[in-house]
Order: sequence, then structure tokens, then C-alpha cells
Amino acid sequence: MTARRVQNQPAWLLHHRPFRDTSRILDVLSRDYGRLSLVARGSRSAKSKLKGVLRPFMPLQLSWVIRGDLGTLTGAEMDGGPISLNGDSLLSAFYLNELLLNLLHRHDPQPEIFSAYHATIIELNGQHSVATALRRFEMELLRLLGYALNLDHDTESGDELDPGRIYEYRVERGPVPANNPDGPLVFTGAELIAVAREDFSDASTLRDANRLLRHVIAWHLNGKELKSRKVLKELRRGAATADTGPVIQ
Amino acid sequence: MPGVGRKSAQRIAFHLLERDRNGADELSRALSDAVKGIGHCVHCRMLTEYDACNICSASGRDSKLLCAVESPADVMAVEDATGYKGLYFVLMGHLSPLDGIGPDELGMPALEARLRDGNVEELIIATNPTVEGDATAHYLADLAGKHEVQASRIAHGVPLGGELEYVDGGTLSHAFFGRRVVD
Repeated sequence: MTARRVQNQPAWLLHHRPFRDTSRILDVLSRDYGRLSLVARGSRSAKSKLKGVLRPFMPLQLSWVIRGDLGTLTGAEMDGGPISLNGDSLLSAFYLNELLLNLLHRHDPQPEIFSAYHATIIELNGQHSVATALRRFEMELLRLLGYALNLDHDTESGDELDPGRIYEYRVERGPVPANNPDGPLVFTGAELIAVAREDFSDASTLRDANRLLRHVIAWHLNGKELKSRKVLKELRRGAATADTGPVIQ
Repeated sequence: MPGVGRKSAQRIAFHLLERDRNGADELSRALSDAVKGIGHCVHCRMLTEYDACNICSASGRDSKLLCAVESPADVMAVEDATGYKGLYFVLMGHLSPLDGIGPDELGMPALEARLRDGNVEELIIATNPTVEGDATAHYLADLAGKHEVQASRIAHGVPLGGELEYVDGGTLSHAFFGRRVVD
């Protein structure tokens, strides 16, 4: 198998773990080569110049050589100014990374997902609502993966959603008329239409989107619990941070 | 073992078996005693063979200052380098949401109890300048704020004697944004 050399590829570091005494294994989301793992040799040594650069939530340009599944990092530089996430933004960004690590296949180029992730990190870095940024990213991610939510028609009759009617959202199909107004995935037509518009300035629409997306994403994860979700719940229980809404439930 | 590769391990093993069997015996006893006898300090979670570590039981330490660090090695580093006379809290790691390491794994309930009892006036956060260390620092600062304890974080940036030209971009930008007024 011939080695492939990639130079100065825009990328984000999603996760990293120690490898041997002084190295790390990086999980990376690159623009043109998708998600992949790279060994960053010597990057934990005292003299390594990469320690300040190889950080999650920092736009990077990476170079590597790859033969098979695991590549070797040959260079890393910052790509643009630093991003400094704080508090809820930082903790929520870990959730985004875990979502990508679980939902993206390796070596499957997804430049649009790369752009959506980039835009969301920039948004989290600004003064925007963290919960809104997360919900928009989740909806966009599902759409780009081919699992777009159906929020415009009744999948039984094919008719447009009736704002006054009650529907149960079935993950693998979409909304179907329901008689019982209770249930984790029961919404009014108006609520589903509002979620489709992504106008999350209304707190109740944001709550509906959160409820819907939590179930849909759990279904696509095949019941696997996200570790970051568990940790974030513990953190929000312990810290004094004002509860600004359902960022991640 | 960290720092010992296959070759070094082989050399150590041959040396002990061929030239220093008494030393090998002593080493094995020391290791066995350490494993059996060393636990965590009930106050700060530092490694110790007693209930409370040397630092927590020493008189003359300032109990109004509490420094949170990630590992026992960090306690030794701060002790050796700074002349700090307060107490410590060793987290034994940092928040790592992707690895499922949350506040409970880091002994945060014990730390919160110490902040709550009203004796601590300043929490010095000395977590590493990594993204995970930053997340831990934010959480600790929130916790301190909740109990009206002042929180500070150690500075990070250009190393002493370093030259800006050779400092990596991430470190330099951190140093730049963390600049302070010259008195």
C-alpha cells in the first residue's frame, strides 16, 4: 500500500488520548478527508512545540502521511485566530465532538459537516445562545447525514401538517396522527412547524426541538449513551451557573 | 512503565538478577509496602501513608488558601518552585466529558465541602493549560463563586528566558490575551 501525503489540510481536533510516553493519538475532523486518527509523535514531550497548537476547538492546518487506517502527523499550525470557549460553550462543544465521533464514519469526506461544525464553534465563541447553536447544528448534521427530520407532512396521508392536530413523531418515519396527547414524542402540528422554521427565540420551540432531537439522536446512536451528556448533567447539577435553558438535557 | 522502554527494562532486570539480588529484594519490598500502605489524604487526596498528608497536618500552613491541582506530581512541582504556604486539593485528573470523567470522579463533592465550611478565602486554580484543564478551571471557579470564595487561576504564557519569535502561536495568543497592566 502506498503512503499518501497530505499537506496543510484544514482540520479540527475532536479528541486526543495519550499514546506511549510522549505521543498522542488524535481524532481529527478534516475538511477533505473526513474523520481520521493520527499519531502525533513526541507531542507530549517537554520540548514539543505542538502542545500549544494541538488543542480541540482551535482551527488548524494539519499535514500527515497515511498508509492504512492510522496516519502520522507531520505538521500542525493554527489556521486563523484563537477561539476561546468558556463555561457552557466549552462544555457544549465537547458534546458536539462526541456526536461527530459517534455519527461520522472514518475516511468519509464531509466538507459540509466540516463547515457546519466550524460555523457552530464560531457561534459558540460569540454571544449567541448556546442551546440555539446546538439545536441548529444537530438538525443540520442529521440533514447532511441523510437523516433529515420530516417536519412538513403527515407520513400516513402525505398531507401537510395541520397546526391544530396532534402527532406522534416516529423516528424512522416522521409525524403520524395521534389520539393520545401524552408521550415523549407527541407534538402539535404547530410545534413541529415551529421547529422546522428553526426560530428558537421562542423558549417553548427550543424545548420542543430539544425533546425531539434528543430522541432522534439517541435512536441513531443505537441506544449508546453519550458520556459528555452524562458529565454535563452532573456539572449543571453542581455548579452555580444560572440555568439559561435546556442546553443539553 | 512510563519512561522505561523494553531495552531499559531488560537492562534493569539483568542488573538486579546478576549483580544486586539484595537490591532487588529491597525494591520489591518497598514497592509492596507502598502499594499496601499508601492511600489518599482524607483532606486533599494527596498520596500519603497516613490519614492526613504531611502538608495538611503541618502547622504553619495558611488554611485560608487552597490550591487545586490535577496530580500529586503537581503538588511537588508547586512546593519545590513557589514557596506557597497554603493547602492543596488534588483532583487526580481533569474534567474530560468525552472520557466520562466528571465532577464525581474528581472528588468535587469533597472540595465543595471544604469551600462550604467557610475557612477558605481564596481558591487558586492550578489546572494545566489544556482545553480539559480550562473546563475544569471554569467549573471550579463556578463552585468557588457559589460559596463566595475568591477564585484565581495561575498565569500561563511565554516561558521565562524565551523569545517570542520561537513561541508557538497558541501559547503566544494566550499570553497576549492574558496580558496585565504594568504597575
